Formats: sequence, C-alpha cells, structure tokens
Amino acid sequence: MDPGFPVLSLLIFLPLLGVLLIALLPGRHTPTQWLVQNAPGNPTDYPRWIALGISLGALIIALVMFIIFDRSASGFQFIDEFDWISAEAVGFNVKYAFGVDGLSMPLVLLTAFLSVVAVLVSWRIDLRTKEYFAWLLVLETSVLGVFTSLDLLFFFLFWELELIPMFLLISIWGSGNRNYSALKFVLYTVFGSAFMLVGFLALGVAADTFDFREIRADSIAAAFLPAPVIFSFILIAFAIKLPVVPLHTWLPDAHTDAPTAVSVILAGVLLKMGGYGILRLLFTLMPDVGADADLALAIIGTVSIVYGAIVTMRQTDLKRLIAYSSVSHMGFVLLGVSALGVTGMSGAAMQLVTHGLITGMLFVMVGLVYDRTHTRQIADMKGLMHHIPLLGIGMVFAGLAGLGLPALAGFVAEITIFLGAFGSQTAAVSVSLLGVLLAAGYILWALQRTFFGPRDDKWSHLPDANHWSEYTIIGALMALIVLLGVYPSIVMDLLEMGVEPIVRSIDAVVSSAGSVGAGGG
Amino acid sequence: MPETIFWVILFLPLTAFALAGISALNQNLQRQIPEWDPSYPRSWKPIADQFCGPRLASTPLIIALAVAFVLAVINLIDSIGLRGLPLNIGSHELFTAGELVVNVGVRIDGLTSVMLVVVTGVSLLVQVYSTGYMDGDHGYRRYFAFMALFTTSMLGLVLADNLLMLFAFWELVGLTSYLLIGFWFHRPAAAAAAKKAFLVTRLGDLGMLAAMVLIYSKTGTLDIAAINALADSGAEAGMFAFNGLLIGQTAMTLFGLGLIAGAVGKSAQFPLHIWLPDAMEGPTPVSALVHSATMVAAGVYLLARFFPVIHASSTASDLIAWIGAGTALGAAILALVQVDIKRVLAYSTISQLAYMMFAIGIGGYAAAVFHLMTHAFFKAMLFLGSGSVNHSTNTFDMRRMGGLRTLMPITFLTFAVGTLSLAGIFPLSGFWSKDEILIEAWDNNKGVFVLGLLAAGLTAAYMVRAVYMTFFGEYKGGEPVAPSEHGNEDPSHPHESPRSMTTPLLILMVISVVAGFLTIGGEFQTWVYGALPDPHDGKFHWSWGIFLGSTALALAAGFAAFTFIHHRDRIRSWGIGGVWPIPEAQKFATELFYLDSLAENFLARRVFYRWIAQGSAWFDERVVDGIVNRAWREGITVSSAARFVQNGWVQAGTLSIGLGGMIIWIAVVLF
Repeated sequence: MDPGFPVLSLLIFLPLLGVLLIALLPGRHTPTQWLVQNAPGNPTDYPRWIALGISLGALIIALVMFIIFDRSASGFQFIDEFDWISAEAVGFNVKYAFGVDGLSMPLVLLTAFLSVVAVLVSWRIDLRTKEYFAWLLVLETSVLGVFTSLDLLFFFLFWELELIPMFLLISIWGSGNRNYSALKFVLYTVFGSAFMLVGFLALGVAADTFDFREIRADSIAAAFLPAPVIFSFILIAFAIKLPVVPLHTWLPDAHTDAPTAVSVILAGVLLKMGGYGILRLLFTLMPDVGADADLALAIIGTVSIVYGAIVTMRQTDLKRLIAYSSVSHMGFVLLGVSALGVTGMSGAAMQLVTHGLITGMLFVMVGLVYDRTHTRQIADMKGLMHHIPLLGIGMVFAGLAGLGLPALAGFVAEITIFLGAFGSQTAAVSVSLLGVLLAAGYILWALQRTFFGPRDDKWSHLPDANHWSEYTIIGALMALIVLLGVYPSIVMDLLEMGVEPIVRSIDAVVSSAGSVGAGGG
Repeated sequence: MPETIFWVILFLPLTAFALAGISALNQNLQRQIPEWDPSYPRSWKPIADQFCGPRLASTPLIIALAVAFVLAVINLIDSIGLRGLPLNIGSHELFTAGELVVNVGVRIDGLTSVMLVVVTGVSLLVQVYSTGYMDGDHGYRRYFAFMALFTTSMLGLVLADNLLMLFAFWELVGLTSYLLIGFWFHRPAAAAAAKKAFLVTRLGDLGMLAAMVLIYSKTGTLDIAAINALADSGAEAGMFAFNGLLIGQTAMTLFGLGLIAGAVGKSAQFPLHIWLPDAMEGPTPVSALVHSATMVAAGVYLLARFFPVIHASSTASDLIAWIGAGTALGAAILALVQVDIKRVLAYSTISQLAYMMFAIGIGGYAAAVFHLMTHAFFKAMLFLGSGSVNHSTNTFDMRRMGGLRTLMPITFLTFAVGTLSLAGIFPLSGFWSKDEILIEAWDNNKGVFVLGLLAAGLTAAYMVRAVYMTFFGEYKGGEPVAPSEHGNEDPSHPHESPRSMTTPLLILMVISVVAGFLTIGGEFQTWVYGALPDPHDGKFHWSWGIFLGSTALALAAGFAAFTFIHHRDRIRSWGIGGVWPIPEAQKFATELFYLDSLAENFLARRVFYRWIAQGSAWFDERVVDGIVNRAWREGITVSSAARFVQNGWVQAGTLSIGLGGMIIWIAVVLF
C-alpha cells in the first residue's frame, strides 16, 4: 500500500508536534499573564485537550492505515525511506526507513489506541500538567518508532528514547518508592540495551547497512561475533523487556509506583516491544539460531507462565498482583514463538495485542479504584461492589478477560498458542496448561477479597464512575475485548500474514539443515 | 430444519441477555446521574425507567425461551422423522491461524434435539418461577441477565459441531455458574463458593483442554463427527485410521481420559464433586436449572457426545464406569445425613449424575441420555419445591420445618411426586430411566450393578427422610426474617407460594409423570442412538427380575427410613449407639468423608498456598530480586571505591601509570 504521502512519518511525529504545542503554552510563571487571563475556558486544561486531540489524531491515522492496509500483499507497506548516514567507505550506512507489515500494523493501532486511553485516564492529573502530557506524547512517539523502524539504529534510538519519559513519569508523578522503581527500570533496560547495541553493531557493520531488510545470512556469518552470540545478546534486551523469569523483578516495582496511565502504556505496549523484537529481529534475521533455541525458549516461557502465576497468588497489592500476572501472560508469547509454526507464532502475536488491551484495562480499573479508595492493599478493601458497581463491572469483566474466558480476546490467543505449540513442545505446553488454572485462581480470589463480600460503610462515600472520560475508556476497552474475542479475524489475518515469512525462512533453514544432515548420513 | 432456525434458537436468549444487561446497567447508572452530568436531561429519567425497568430483564427472556422451546420441539419432531441421524448443518470459518481453522457450526442429531428441548423447556419454567421467587430482590435485573447468558451458553454447548466451540461454550457455562452461585456476593460464603466452583471445574477443564490440543496435534481436526468416526473405526495394530486421519491407541486413550476429566469436573463426580454442595449458595431457581437439570448434565452430554471415543479404550470406559458407580453410592450416603434440604438434593444430583456416568461407561448410551432427560424434569421440580418451601419458611434447614403438608399442599404434592420419581417408583419417569440403567449394568458389569442397586435403595431412604422432616410432624417455626432481608414473608405462618411459582411446579409434575412412557417400545432408544449402533436393535429392553427387585428394594428402604425417623426416640432408647459405632459413622458422613477438608484445608491452603506459593514469593523477593539489589549495591560500593582513582590529579595518574608498567614488567619477566 503506497498512499503517495509519508503517512507513517506523520503518525510517528504527530505526538512530537503535540509536545511542541504544549511547550508553547504559557506556564505559571510566564510574562504573558494577559494571555492566560483572556483565554477562553480554563487554560490549565489546555495540555490535556491538546494531548487528547493529538492522540486522537494519531489514532485516526492509525485506523485509516489499518483499514486501507493491503491484506493481499505480504511485506512492508506505507514505507518512508531515505538514506540518513552513508559512510560507504567504512560500511556504516543508516537509513531513515519506516514501514509496517501484518505483524506491526495491529501493534501500531494498539499503541495509538492505548495512548488515547492513557490521556483520558490521566484526566484528573493536576500536578505539572504541561510536562506530564508532553512526556506522555513523547512516549507515544518512541513506541510507535520501535514498532515501525526498518533500520536497526532507528529501532535502537526509539528503544532508548522511551526511557526518558518513562523515568520522569514514574519518578515525578508516581507513588510509593518511585525513585527506586524508576531507576531500577532504567538500569535494567539499559543493561539489556548495551548487549543489544553490540549485537546490532555486529549485524550492521558486517552487512554494510543497518536496514534489516537487507541483512542476509551470509553477512551475519561474517560478523565479528558468532550468530548465536549475537542472538543471545539481543535476546537479553528483549527478555528483560518482555519480561521473562528471572529478569522480571523490575516490572512489579515499576508498575506499582507508576501513575495509572504509565502502567497502562507499560503493560499495554512497552512489554510488547520485547515480543515484537523477538519475532521481528531475532527470528527474521537469524531463523537458524532461533530454530535451535526453540526448546530453551519453550522452557523459559513455561517457567514464566507457571512461576509467575504462583508468585502472583501471594501478592497483597492489587496493582502488583496484575503486574505479576503480566509476567505469566508474557510467557505465553515465548511458548507460542517456540512452536516455530504459523499457528503458534500467530497466537504469540495475538497474545501481544490481546494482553495489551486486557492488562491495559485491568490497570485502568485498578487506577480508577485507587483514585477513590487511595489504597491498593487488597486487605483494606472489601465489598466495593456495593458502592462502585460500575467500576466493579469493569473490573470483573477485565478480570474474566485476563483469565482467558471464551468470547473475550485473551482466550483466542491462548488457545491458538496451545493448539499450535503442543505438537512440537508437548511437555512445555502440558505444564503451561496449569497457568490457565492459576490465572483463574489469583484473579477470582482477588475479586472475591476486594469487590465481593459484605458492605463496608468505610467506602459508602465513594463515587462510582461518574466522568465522561471514565465511561469512554471502560466502554471502548470492553467493546474491543469482546470484538477480538468473537471476531478475531480482523487482527489475526494480519498477524498471520506477518509471521508467515518468518516461518517460511525457518522452514527453509530447517529443511536445508535436514537435507545436509541426510546427505552427511 | 434450515440452519437459520438453530442460530435463532441460540440468539433469542442472547438478545434477552442484551436487554436485561441494559436494564441492569440503567439501574446502576441511575444512581450516578445527580453527580454525573448536570446537563443530563431530567426528562429522560422517566423514559429510561419505563423502558429499561425490571420488566425489560425478565419479559424478553421468557418470550425468547418460549419461542425457542417451540422451535426446539418442532426440531425434535423433525429429528424423530429422520430417525435421529446426525446432520451437520453449516459450518462457518471464524478465524484461521496457519493450519488451524476454527469454525462455528451446528450439528443436530437425536442427542442434540433432546438437549435443546430439555434446556429451553426447563429454563422457561424456571424463569417463570423466578419472576415470583426473585420479586423484590435488588439484583432482579442482573439475575435475569445472568440466566439469559447461561441459557445461551448451554444451547451453544449442545449445538456445537466442533470441540473448540464446545469448549468455548463449556467455559461460558462455567462462568455463568460462577456469577449465579455468587449472585448474593455480599455473603462471604456465596463469594467463596462461586470461586471454588469455578476453580474445581476448571481443574477438570485442564484435562479437557489437554485432550483438545492432543487430538488436534495428532489428527489436525477438531470436528466432532470426524473424531467420532475415527474412534468408531476400530483399532488395527494399535492405530485408528479413518478417512486420512490417523491416531494411535495411547493417544486415543489419553484423549478419552482428558474428556473424562472435564466431565468429572463439570458433573461433580468424585474426586471433583466438592464444589456442587457449596454451589447451593446461589438462588434456588439457579440450583434447579444450573446445578441439577442442565449445566451439570453437560459433563454427561460431553461423554455421550464422544461415546465412541470413550469406548475406543477400555481404560477410559472402565474408569468412568467405576467412578460413576462409586460416586453414585458415596453421594447417596452423604445425602442421608444432610440437614439442609438443598444439600440433600445436591448430593442426590451428584448421585444421579453418577448413574448416567456409569451408564455411559458400561455402554448404556440411550439409558444415560434418557435418565438425563427425566432427571432434569423431576430434579428441577424438587429444587423448585425446596425454593417454594424456603419462600415461606425462610430457611433450608429441615430441622426447622415440618408439618408443611397441609400448609403448602401444591408444593407437597409436587415434591412427593418428584420423590417417588427419584426413588424409581413405577410408573413415574424416574423408574423407567433408572431401571434401564440397572438392566444395562446387569448385562455388562455386575460389580457396577451392585453399587448402583445399593445407591437406588439409599435414594429412596434419603428422600423419604427429607420429605418426612419437611412435610410431616409439627411445624418448627422456620427462620425469623432479619429486618434487612427482602421479600420473604413472615415465616411463623407459612402459606402456599404465588401462582407464578406453583404453575411451573405443576407443569413439571405432569412431565415427570408421563416422560417415562417415551421409552416403551424402544423407539426412543433407536432414535437417540442415531448413527451409533443400537445394541438392542430397537427392541424394548425389559427385565421383570430387575423391575421387581429394584421396586422392592426402594419400597423397603423407604419404609425403613420412615420407621427409623418416625420412631427415632424409641430406637435411640434401645441404645444401639453404644454397641455399634453409629455416631462415629454419622460423623464420618457429615464430615463428607473428610474429602472437603483434605482438598481445601490441606491441598489448597497448606500445600499449595502456604508451601508452594509462599515459598515461591519468598524466592522471588529474596533471591531473584535480592541478587539484583545486591548487585546494585555492590556496584555502587565498587564504583565509590573506584572513584578515588578518577580524582584528576596528574601526579596520581602518572604514579599509577608507572606502577602499572612496573607490574606488567615484573609479570613478563617472571612468566
């Protein structure tokens, strides 16, 4: 699909335009007080309206792209590219290249959608609103950049760019032990990025280009590091981001102390960058190494699923509980990838999308409850359903989606992964099935302790959902989760298209290795 | 029947769910309007109240079910005309992922046709009853929304033509059961029971899920007809092969065992039976529909649906036969010591479902389906009767009832007919179906037969005990109404329930009396067998010996129970308790053979939660995260220690270069 117009660049940089607009607003200490006094409406509301308008604009662009996306052609579409750095002599060529294919298109749409949700859920933020909404938009740009970069260095650039807004958003607008959590998040990510950068340099220098569409197996073989080492280095970064056990402990801290909107973005799309990277970079560039690593990935995935779910059981903070459940759910991504087939990988990609919506909704609901109760401790809450039934309905709905209820989005992804992976990873899938039971356990138990039970008059003053932004978010998330649950094709077809080339290259490697082996025998 | 009709049957209650949902949502939104939006037009409120009131929750559902019931009956007649042969009517692709193609489609045969009629019919009557029973409850609208969703899910489950669709609706049935058990979520016991039910059945569902991924990975299909044809083809040299599909005997056995795990969970069979008695925390009409007549029968339906698979492996069929026979007897013993009338009926349900289970295990497919149908009617009636009793006495504790025979004559009449039917007294419907199962057991497995016969005797005994405690003797006053409680009227003067509740009871009573005659002549069996081979070639299966034996046993056991309870004081005065360990045995039974405490207190609370989960959480916090934090702290220490090197003094830098050079020089010289 070529719209004849750099629509993708527009999408990626539109939020930065919003940042510029917000920056130009008069602040508290501005000399242009007359402007503030004569402005229509309430000037302190301007940043949120700009952020909402910009993120809605981005959502509309992403939606239009999603609709006009050519579902018959595989490969990248909406490509914007030109040479950025061309140092032919030293073989250092960087391209400004962006594009989307079946794998990234749904994730781009998810990012645009959850960014709107993040803005709306922050509607009642009062602390330094200008900076807050500006950083939120920077975050959107960086994530969109990661999902659309076709060049390793741009991928890395956006990957790192995301740290700045995240660090500030957690450490300024967060709660609890927020400085520790923000720093831990950054250090963990940077630790992984260091390895990733070495891997990228090895790949790019050997191939004379960082455009990953042009990196071939023969140039990887000539790199200054062996392919399995490159693979492992890059995998470290993605595994931290996903996250997998035992590299997951930054996640509960970051989530617990982050403001609601940041938790939504963090769980909804930042974690997805890890899974996306594994599919997009590792398995596309090094299918041979990936095919050899299948058992390791399946084992790591299974451990994450089961261990993550068991640890979730013991959490006493509602937000931390959901954070740990993400560890368990992201394990499914690795399990699906390890199947090395279209079914399993489509399921893994689907899990990225559905988990983004479901966990996003869970964090929204917990955030809205926290706004009212000012506590997240499960032990402090009980019988909330009597006082805030609408939020209760949203919470129960999100919880049921999280435990993989059919007709809701999560079921489709998980069942596809199970069906796709059982043939090749029988033992791992058999153990992972336990995750389904454990998920029901921690979610239902949490609901029982917080929302059910006798009326507690301590909470009788709590207002239920009562703002248009809250109705909008809850309604939209519920509608999307049901839509993907009963009619998954709209996204699954694209994802299938996106993973097909990856599986084809894996099959080619495996079958040629098989024929070499047969010839040798 | 055209395909559209079946989608209409499925979507009618779904539409009712949407309307009831709107009604319930409106109820909650109304609370919010004053603080919500001042611009909300006040004039909308009366309109919203008029069109989205409580009637929007119940009336559409009753109309939808009435229409669906008529359609189901027409389909039944149609299907009888086709001799119950299976029809795959339309299969539509829902989504694909690589080789996986997921369809939604409808499969109709004798079994489905029976289930459609049972589900829509019983559900219709229960909803009519509920309009009376739930009247005045704060959650009236939510109740009907859940009931509509339940009926939709159950219909989807029986219509499904492939295992994945069946599983999806299977889980949705589990969800609605969860929502309905926990309907009065303000009671901690209800919230806990709902969670327990969902988790215990989901434990069984893991087996079913494993079975599904196994069969898919081996054969590449999830189509029920294809899987059954494969299982029916018979194994040659340990392989089943049919129509290009291929599967080994071991995989087929594992598949059957997985299905059995799912069925054991859903139908509350040993060892996963522990959730059903607790499920009685839900409103009584829910118990009648969900936890006796339909949902719990889904497990039986599943095994009947995959009958050839169960019988493709003697391990699977023997296992379910013995689980069923053991559960039938064990649950009947437990029913004998309960003092809560709903719990008596709950254990009775477990016991009766177990009958169907072992019937399937020993090859009595038609008998199992027939018993499923008759049991659905009379057990729904019994539960609704217990609800009627509760409506006027405000308790389920039989020790506080008594003497209601004259005060609630219609309830007594219907309950008595249900009791006779359940006890298998000629010529009520329960007699025919139970006898058929016993005849099959006599023919195929004498051990199972003995257990089944003992359970039949106990059934008569516990029901006579329940009827006596509830309806005979003197009225003991019921439970006083707490001021906060809704609806229930003064229990000191119990009276008959309103007509909306007694009419469904009377209709069910008529059905319970006549439904059994269907079997005479053997037509029903042939038709239910459909494509499956009928071992009796359409002949009516009858044995005078078993008829006389089981009837005599039921009468004797009933009479013995009556004697024991009526002359309780005199018997106690004989001091049997001192000689025989009756109190100990009774305690063993009232403690439910200690199975519940083993599962809940030991396995769930101690082994899993205390040991495994707490250990893992400790490991995660102290070891996994501990190492990270330690590394972080050490890193800071090391770097602060190293900081003095970077102090910017030229002299120090020169000195260290010199020292370093010397060390290298010494090293080179030495090695």
